[in-house]
Amino acid sequence: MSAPLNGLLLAGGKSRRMGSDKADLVLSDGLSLRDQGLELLNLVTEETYLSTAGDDRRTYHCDTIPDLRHDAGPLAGLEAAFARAPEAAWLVTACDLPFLTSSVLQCLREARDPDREATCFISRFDGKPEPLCTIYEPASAKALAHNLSKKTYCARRFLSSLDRRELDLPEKSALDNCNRPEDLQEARIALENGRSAKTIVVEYCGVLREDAGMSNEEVHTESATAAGLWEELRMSRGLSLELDAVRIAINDEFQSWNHPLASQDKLTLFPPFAGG
Amino acid sequence: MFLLTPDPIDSAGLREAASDPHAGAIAIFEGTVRNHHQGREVLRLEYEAHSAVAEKEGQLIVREAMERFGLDYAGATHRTGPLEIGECAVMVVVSSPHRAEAFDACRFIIDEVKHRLPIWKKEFYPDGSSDWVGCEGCRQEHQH
Repeated sequence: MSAPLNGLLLAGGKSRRMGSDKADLVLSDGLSLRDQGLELLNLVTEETYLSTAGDDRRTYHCDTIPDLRHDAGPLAGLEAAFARAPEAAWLVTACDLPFLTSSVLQCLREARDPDREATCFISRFDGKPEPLCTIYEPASAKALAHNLSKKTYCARRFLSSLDRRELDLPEKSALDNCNRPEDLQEARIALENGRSAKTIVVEYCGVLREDAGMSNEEVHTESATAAGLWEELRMSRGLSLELDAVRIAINDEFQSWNHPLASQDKLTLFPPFAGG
Repeated sequence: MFLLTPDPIDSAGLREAASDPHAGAIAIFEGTVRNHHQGREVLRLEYEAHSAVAEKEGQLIVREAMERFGLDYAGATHRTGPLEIGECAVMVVVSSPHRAEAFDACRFIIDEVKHRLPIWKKEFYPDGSSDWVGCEGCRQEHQH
């Protein structure tokens, strides 16, 4: 007999890079990311809760579980959820996943292995487990308490330490997240126009050339904008800079990160300039 | 006229290009390679440039300066590749009827060159290490 499955939508983050609360953002269908996330969880779990920061005084039209500690990230949300219902398993998702669908969550629920501590997907970028679309069984609560007591707040590291079942994503981009306005624009274009396969020549300069270990390569991508492709390359090529520090040219013309990509475009990645 | 070159900058030639009977002032800026950066001893430098974009943007800067300051001539040259201490890394030459515009335009061009051109500088230190200037502060902090 497996534990009942509850849903927990994480929305207590600071959205520092977005500049406004990500959960309030609205995509093409008119629902905020928060409402969309709750609706999806509702379809596949018995009870759905919104995880909020402990000092969040806003009113929500749903059940909330406030964090019990400050600045501990997603793990604090899971801790508070286990405190509320220790006998339940928790399907934890984040509100900044615009491509998450009910069929992806359905797939996770069907593959759930209640005899392990967690069931999760692996990242399409680096093959490591994705902590923010994962079922955490009650058996994982002990390891969670241990991590938090040692102030180890990295959700990915926590999940990596668990006995878990790993699944490939049934939809490649399902867990692509939105941390910046540029990511959101990428999501909007992809949701409105669909994704199309394209071939892009990527040119690396300066420190990025050294990070990537090459000066250029041909990349096959479905990203709609340069920002989307950057997100794909950043981890897989080990690029050491943040998007804000990098400027780009498309076909040798300076462009913004939101510029749409067309097949056969050349994208050049510029580290901070240091001439003179 | 803007130029990228892997060879030593021809300063006499650049100065000569600015000569103009209409001009009452020639201002020259030379940026040279110094042996220290933020308190650290520097042995030598290497400049890397994205030629296509840097040359296009460089021409744009020179043209902007010509119009904005009413110059008779404006030219800038930037080195690429390895450079030794004391070598000239960048040179700006302008001429105009009066000195105020010449000084201002020279300053404008070197500032724009620094901000707008895709050129990167790698410093080499006595302990054998090296680093890209301007990237130190923006490296990602990996928390895992």
